[in-house]
Amino acid sequence: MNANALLQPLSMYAWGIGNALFLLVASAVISTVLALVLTFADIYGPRSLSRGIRVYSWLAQTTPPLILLFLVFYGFTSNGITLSPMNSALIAFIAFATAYNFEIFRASFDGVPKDQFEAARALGIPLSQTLTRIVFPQMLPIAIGPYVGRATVLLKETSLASAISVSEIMNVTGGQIYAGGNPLLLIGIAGGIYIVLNLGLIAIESRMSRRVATTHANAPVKG
Amino acid sequence: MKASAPLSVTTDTGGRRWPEPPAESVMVEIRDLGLSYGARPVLKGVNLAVPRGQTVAIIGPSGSGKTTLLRCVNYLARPTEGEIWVGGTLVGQRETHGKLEPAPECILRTHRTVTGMVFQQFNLFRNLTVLQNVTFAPIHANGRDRASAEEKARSLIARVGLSHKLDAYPSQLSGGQQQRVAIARALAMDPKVMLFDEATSALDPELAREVLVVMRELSEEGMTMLVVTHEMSFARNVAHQIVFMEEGRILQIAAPEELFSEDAHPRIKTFLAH
Repeated sequence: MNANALLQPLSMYAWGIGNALFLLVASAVISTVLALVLTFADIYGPRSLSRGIRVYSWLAQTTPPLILLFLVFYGFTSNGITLSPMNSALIAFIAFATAYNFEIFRASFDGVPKDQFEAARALGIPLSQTLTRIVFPQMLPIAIGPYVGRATVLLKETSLASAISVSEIMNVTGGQIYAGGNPLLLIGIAGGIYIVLNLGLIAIESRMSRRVATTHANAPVKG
Repeated sequence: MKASAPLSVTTDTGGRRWPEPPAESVMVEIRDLGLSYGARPVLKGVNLAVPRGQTVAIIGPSGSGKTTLLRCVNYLARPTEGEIWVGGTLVGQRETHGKLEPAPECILRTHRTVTGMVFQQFNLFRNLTVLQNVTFAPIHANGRDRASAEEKARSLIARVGLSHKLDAYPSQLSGGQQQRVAIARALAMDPKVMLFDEATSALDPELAREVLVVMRELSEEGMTMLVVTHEMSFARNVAHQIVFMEEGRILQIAAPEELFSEDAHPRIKTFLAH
């Protein structure tokens, strides 16, 4: 067995992992920003806007991700717009990740006691300061568990992007199997990669949770 | 009684004219106040004047509108009719071309900084320490610099006896300690009037006492206070006037010695007998 035969699949896996992580991080970051905008638009915007957001959220959550992925990829190409598989995957992932994150942030907002707003209003504190310095910091510890939980699912769902030939982990694995590799071994390797990456996410989550818990001391208020 | 307004009335197109402010000696004046939620009236024709430096206790059965009345003073609840004057300012209204208009939120904010409010459930900011709770509004609502806000906060926290808890979070304090921080937080804005909404109702008698001591001191120092309370001994011993409310109206306003005497309204005597 020469070195090249081992190095080449390794570099392909590295490429696949890189693409999967890029898809995860880029869609997580963008969907987080969009979800926060939707959260506050839902709370402070007109009712018609809220209704629109609800319909979007409901559609994006109930449509299987794979269908969303195909819809974006084939939808654009059949209309004469060339979109790379990776960009198509990004759009689809952002579309459904935003909906999930919106629901998480919306619920976290509801988890902040209303008396916090009341106290701030009585003190004459502008709403912008109340939201950024009182409400948002209190949403964090509530949101962090479900948010990272959703991110681990998102990482696993990046495997779906192989269906539109984004060369992420499963796409690389499929290529290796096609080239004559041992299917069980290769799928085992791919599974192992997802487990290791997700363990990393979970480790980050527990560290962040602990930090938020100690700085905010967010235990229930004693009577 | 109504003096002519200094503004021309020729442009008047139906909006109400700017009313006459109360006398200098009156800190809070409530005129013909009414509030309804839909068809359900909560406050009906309430009139009350609180002279500068006086403490007024508001008592009465649950659901009589005490808390709503208090919340109208800083416009946390918007009255549907009537006027609220605090320190010479008509709260929640502004003047446009000599006519009354509901004030927008940014003006309401400045009106609210004149009153300090203490809530039944303390409502401290949970993500902030004791010191941060007390400096937050001066810094972020009044634009004070951090150093002077902290200096003032430290002295206020010392005054309520919690200098050893500066860096504690609300969840690490007892209810009585939290309420004392809440009082310091309200005082940090240099309010002209303090509003207490059943400030001791969520506390056991021992913790309530430590809060009542602070309230009594404030009253004795000449702070104007409106106190919604079930603590009859506080009303009796500290308040200058007691207001008894029932079904959204003031049934009687009287000095404590009168209200706790045989001359009180029969309904009040029954209420106090329990």
